[in-house]
Amino acid sequence: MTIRSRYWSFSQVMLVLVVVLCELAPASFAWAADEHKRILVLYSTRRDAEFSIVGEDVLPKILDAGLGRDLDYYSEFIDVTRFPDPSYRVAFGDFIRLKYQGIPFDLVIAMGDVAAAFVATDRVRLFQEAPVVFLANNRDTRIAGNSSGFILERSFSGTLRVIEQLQPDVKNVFVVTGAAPADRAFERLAREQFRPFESRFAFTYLSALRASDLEQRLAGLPEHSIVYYVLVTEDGAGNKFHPLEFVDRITAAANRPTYSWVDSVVDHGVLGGDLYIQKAAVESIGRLALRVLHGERADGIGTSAINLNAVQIDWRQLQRWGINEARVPSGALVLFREASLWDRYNIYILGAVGILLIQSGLIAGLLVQRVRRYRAERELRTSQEALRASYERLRDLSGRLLHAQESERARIARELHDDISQQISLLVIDLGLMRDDAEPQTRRLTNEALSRAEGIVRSLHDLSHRLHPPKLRLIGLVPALRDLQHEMSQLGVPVTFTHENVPMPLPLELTLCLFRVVQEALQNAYKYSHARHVSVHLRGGSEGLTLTVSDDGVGFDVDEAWGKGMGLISMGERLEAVGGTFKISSKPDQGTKVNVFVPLSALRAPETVSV
Amino acid sequence: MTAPSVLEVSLPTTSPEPVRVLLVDDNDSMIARAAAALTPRCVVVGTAHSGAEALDAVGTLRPDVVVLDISMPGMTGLEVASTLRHQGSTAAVVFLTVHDDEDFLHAAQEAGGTGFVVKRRLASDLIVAVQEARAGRSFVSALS
Repeated sequence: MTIRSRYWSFSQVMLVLVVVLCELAPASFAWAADEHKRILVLYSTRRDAEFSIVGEDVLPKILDAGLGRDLDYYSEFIDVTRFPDPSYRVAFGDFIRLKYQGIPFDLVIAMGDVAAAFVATDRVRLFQEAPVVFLANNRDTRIAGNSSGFILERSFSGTLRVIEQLQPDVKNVFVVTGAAPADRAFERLAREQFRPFESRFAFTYLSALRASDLEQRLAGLPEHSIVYYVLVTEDGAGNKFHPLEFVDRITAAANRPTYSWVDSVVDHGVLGGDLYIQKAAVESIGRLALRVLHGERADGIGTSAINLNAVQIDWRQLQRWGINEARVPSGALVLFREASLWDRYNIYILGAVGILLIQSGLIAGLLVQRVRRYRAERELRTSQEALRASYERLRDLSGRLLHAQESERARIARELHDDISQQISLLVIDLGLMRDDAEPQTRRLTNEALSRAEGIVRSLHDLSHRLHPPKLRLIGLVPALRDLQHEMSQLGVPVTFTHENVPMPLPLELTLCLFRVVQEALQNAYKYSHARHVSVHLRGGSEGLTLTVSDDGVGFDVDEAWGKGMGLISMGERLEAVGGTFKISSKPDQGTKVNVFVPLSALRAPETVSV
Repeated sequence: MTAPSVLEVSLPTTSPEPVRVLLVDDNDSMIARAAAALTPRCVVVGTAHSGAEALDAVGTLRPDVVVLDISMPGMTGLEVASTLRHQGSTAAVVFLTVHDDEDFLHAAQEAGGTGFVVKRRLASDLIVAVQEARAGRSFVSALS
């Protein structure tokens, strides 16, 4: 009772306030009739009801957009759910009359049955001739005069068909309704509509229970059951609730899915159903209002019934209750579906995969490249080794060739000398003996034979000397070089030969090498340099043996000569074989100088080759 | 035949004992010719075909004169002569060689050779060179 008296005093204060405001209004306050459209919207629900909220959000926008001129928009809320007393209706009427006195409305919109009834009753008194557009749920709604409207009957049974599809095993439907008159009106309607389904479902009406009792009851529902929330604005204990807050309590407590009939319950734990789409209803009435505002007569349009229900399912509740999404009826709107990782990040995933693929490709490419490079390097190494090996073989071969040549020459020279020379010497001896005992006639012939034989001895001597001087082996380098000096001098090129501190004996191979180098150098001096004088100097020192052959000839380009024979290569190779080094310096017209150095270690090398 | 007669005359006065000679040459024919040239005024006490054999033979046979070829396989005659001198051998050395050459002569003398005979003059010069060497004198064939 205290609550009620407090609300009454509030209304009284409001009335006084409106009266005062009207009295204080300036005299010049006049409506510009042609520029403004003045619209009053009356709701059958409290200001914070979902339907009121949707209406206030959508309706002004539709009207604004549709009119294209200034709009004076007013809205009022008839909260009969909380104020069921008839005196509230009377006071509300007075309030409207006083508040909007003198305002000629271009249109009055009644949202819902209560508002429609209010307008039907007080229309002439309050709004004079203003046309009326209404949205009613009661199919018997009639408003006399210039009016038009939609009858949008509440449908509770559509959700039952949704349940049949989503949960075919459900047998029990527990219907939740409240204690308020409006709640009971809804319950009656629901019972009426559910009756044809009683063969399919067992309905249990949990009506006007205390909230806590209801919660307890809902927590222990048997299998194959669902909860159907109709409306609770007041529980059995007389506590008033915002219907959506009550839904939150129900869905939290219930151990089975909760279904309902209106879209405002979505996102309050309700699984879904065939739902009354409030926004669609508001849009429909908005369009109807615009027609009238644009000049159509409302009574010319008339009143028609519409159905704006649609199936909506909360995806999260499907997950919560383990219901297969495949059972959702086709055409249903599935809300709050959690996008899968793929849905949410597919661009990133594709991008990452792409980058990964590109990177993998690059890495693979690099690896292939590396393998190829390794292979190429290995092949290069192999071919370098092969080249080196073949170079070594070649050098070895040329060394052996030189050696074989020398050996062969030495062998032939020795054959010539030791065998043939010996034989001819014997021949000479025998001829000499013969000559001593011979007749004068024979003596002459013998003498001829003798001198011929001696000529052969000399020829053999020269030949063997050229091939391989026996002196090298028998008496050493210096006498052999002296022979070379002698030969060159005989060719007309004077040769100076000096030697000092030449160690004796030298290894035969080294002796032969140095002899051949001098021989080659003298040949070059004679053939190519056209030298007038050549000097050969051989000197033993603490470091080793130095040989110098220099001439005053025309000289030559060393680099060019290297490839043209002239024995330079064989000189180098001979020296290398005995561990010596070799340098040749020559410039055109500035003579040639051959410098050979053989280190001490090579001088002491044992005689390894017998030639 | 004048030279042999002179030597025949001088032989009893200078050396009543026949000269003991060791012949060293790798050629048997040459050894045969040399032996023929030296006989009978000298006694060929032995022959050797290499330097090594020669060194052994000198040690055992103690010849007065060693007739040495220069060119032999292995040790050369020059090396044999040097070795003998280093070993303190008293045998005189006469080189018998085909090397008709000053350098060989010098080398032979450096090696301690007393005589130097070129082979083609063996018949006339060897006996003289051996006898001269026995007497401590040098003999050298005329070189061409």
